[in-house]
Amino acid sequence: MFKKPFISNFAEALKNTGTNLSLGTQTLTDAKEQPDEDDKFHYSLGTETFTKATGEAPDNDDDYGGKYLL
Amino acid sequence: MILILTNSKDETANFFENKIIENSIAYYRFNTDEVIKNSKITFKFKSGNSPVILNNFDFDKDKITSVWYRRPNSINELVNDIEPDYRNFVAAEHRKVWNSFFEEFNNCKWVNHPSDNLRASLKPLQLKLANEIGLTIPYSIITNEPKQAYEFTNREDLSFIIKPLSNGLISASEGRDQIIYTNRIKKLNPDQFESISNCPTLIQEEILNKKDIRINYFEGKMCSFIIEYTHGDVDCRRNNMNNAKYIPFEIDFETTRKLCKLMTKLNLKFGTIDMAYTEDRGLVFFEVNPNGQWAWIEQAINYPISNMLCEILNVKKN
Repeated sequence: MFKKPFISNFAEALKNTGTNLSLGTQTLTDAKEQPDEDDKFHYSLGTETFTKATGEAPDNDDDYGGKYLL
Repeated sequence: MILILTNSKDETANFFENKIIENSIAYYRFNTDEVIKNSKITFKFKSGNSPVILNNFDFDKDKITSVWYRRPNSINELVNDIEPDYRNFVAAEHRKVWNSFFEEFNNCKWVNHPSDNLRASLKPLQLKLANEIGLTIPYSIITNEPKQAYEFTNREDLSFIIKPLSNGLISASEGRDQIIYTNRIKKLNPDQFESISNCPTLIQEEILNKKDIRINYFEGKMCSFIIEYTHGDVDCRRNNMNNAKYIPFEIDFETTRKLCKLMTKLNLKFGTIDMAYTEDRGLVFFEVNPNGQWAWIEQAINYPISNMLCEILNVKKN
């Protein structure tokens, strides 16, 4: 059984942003497009697999994932 | 010359680009979703020489003096036509090359450099620094220990809010995306806090009878606004900020000095700061958004915020 975080009790549907406020509420719709912590997560997984397979040290410079620049 | 590092769909970049044109400032808009996809790039190395970088861009990179980092797309979105098993690998290879290319602008002024944005977005760090500097912060806890959360909130004299440490977006399957805003939490018993152990959580005292203050910071200069809204919620973003009003607000000298110190410690040249104002406590610090939104206020009340951004980006070549 998968666990849910406590704070997810407060999650609500993401409403589409209005056109007149598109500049202000862009954060919400853009969030998915951003190289955010998600990338970091994928990279952690990738590095872990790599480490297990080869015994080499993780490549820490990917810890920034896409967040560093792209 | 300003390099705008963004994507083709960014509304704020569109808005600011027009302002740059109005101000006759030279710029190049680098939409990562378009340029990278269609570009050729070669690093050519010869022993004892600097690498020669060949590309087909139509701008002279030596003329760039400043970079506005405005939400470029992730490389991950540019490899969708690669065979799935190889996507992550190809994206990683692309990333190394393009990040190396952008290192060519290392001596330019970045507003802000993404590594600074990343560091500055850490809310525990923000609260720690704000507290050290002497800004008033809410009584706060970040924990994944149910007992700590319960003890923190088990008092009658305060009410509490909960908010995410990141952007609060939950990408769900079947496109039913969700968002977590700031929410009030009711008094809970210890068992109800059990699932806090699954995810670190930020809980703060609720600042009552407050006015929301949004501060736009541009390298030591600020313009600030009261955001007035009528829905009575703790998060003014809810309800798409319909009917919100924006009233210019002057930050006192001492708080201004402290905020400048905070932004300097976070190495940010630009950022938006959220605070509250109450009669009895004055200004209370909530958070810094290193790449926060500002254009919607200019759009709503025609306050020339973009001129302040133009000013800090318009750097002359030495």
